[in-house]
Amino acid sequence: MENVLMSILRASGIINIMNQEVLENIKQLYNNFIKKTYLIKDRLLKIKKDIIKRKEEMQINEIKDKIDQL
Amino acid sequence: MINNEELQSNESGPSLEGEGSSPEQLDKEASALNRSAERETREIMNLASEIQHDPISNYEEKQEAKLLSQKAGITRRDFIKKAALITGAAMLATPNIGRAKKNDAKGEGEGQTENVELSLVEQNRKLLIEGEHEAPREVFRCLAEVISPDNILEPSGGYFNRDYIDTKDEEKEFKKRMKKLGYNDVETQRYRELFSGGSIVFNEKILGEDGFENVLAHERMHKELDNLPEDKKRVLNEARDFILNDYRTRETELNNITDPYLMEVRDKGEEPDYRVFGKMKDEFLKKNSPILLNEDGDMGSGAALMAITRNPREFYTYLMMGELSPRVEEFLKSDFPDAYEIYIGLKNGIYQQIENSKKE
Repeated sequence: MENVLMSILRASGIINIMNQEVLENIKQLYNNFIKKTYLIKDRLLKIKKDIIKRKEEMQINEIKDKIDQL
Repeated sequence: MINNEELQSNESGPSLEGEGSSPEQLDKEASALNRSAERETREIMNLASEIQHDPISNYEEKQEAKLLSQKAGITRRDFIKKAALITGAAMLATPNIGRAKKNDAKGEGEGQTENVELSLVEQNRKLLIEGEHEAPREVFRCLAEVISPDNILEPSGGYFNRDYIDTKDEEKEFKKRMKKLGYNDVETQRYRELFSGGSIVFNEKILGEDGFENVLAHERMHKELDNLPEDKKRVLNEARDFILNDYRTRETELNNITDPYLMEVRDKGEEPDYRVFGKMKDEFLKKNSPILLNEDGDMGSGAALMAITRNPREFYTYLMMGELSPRVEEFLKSDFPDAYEIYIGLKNGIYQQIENSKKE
């Protein structure tokens, strides 16, 4: 959850000191980031796999055509 | 394909150097997480770019890759924004800042450490001038709970440029909570006035920190900037906006890109076609402002850059503390001499004032 207070206080230059608690929050943010990007990456890899499969099929068909022509 | 084990290992984050508790170490760990997120985003962007430029991929696949690439960009920006929100001033966690060290005590044992902290509080308290105050931790917690119930951190204080208790309900809630804490009406009113704008108020806990004078200087700069005449503000803002939005060096620009087109250009070692990415380039530079980076291209203390990206008003305050590349001050001096004169006058004045207070 975005911290509204920090947003307001940041706008006025009000500050917080880096501590273990802050770092833990960043780690949590990082883990959420990785979970989201995992899904994106997974989907892109599936698309890429489909493309590679099609490429292979096309190559096979080309070879078949050549064989037929012979 | 990413498997579950890889996800599991990712969840623990990049390799960190243990649970070091010094602010410097914590800052390093936060920067490591940020760099890892950057790498992950770049990998996704590369993948999406490959699909978009593959002659075999169909229209739907290209479109989906484009959308996923944009989604990854948004996720990355969201990470930066949220990290900036919780670490915005972690740059203040320089090696000079931290709890008073036991080694500093003349003797050993808890009693002496306490004395050192008390002494530090007294020293720091002497630096405060008219319009600068301290308030107990519980009062700051009360303020935070009232203006943002979701708040997870305790504010350390700073310059209040306006009244944050700005609704009747918040006012009522603040008084109610203060009463519960045992403050009478007069005391509550006093703190209410302190938080109503124009003052610098620090959480008492920060007065016990070594390096408090840097924090004080930072907040005084905010106040000074806020009180400048409009024409001087304009001069400073123009220089700042140029540096944040328009300045660039090709080298750093190309080293920090995430856009597929720019990555492709960089990888081929070609000159980018500025006609192609015109607006995109501007957007990119707004987000990255390479001049702010240290010479090694790293974010340095990290949060300074993130805080400035989030809020340009932090630019001169972080600059005065030496948190940005020295090139920034040099550039300001050579290309915006009027702005530099105002800035350096404020900076020198603030630090001189602190030195004078120390001598008193």
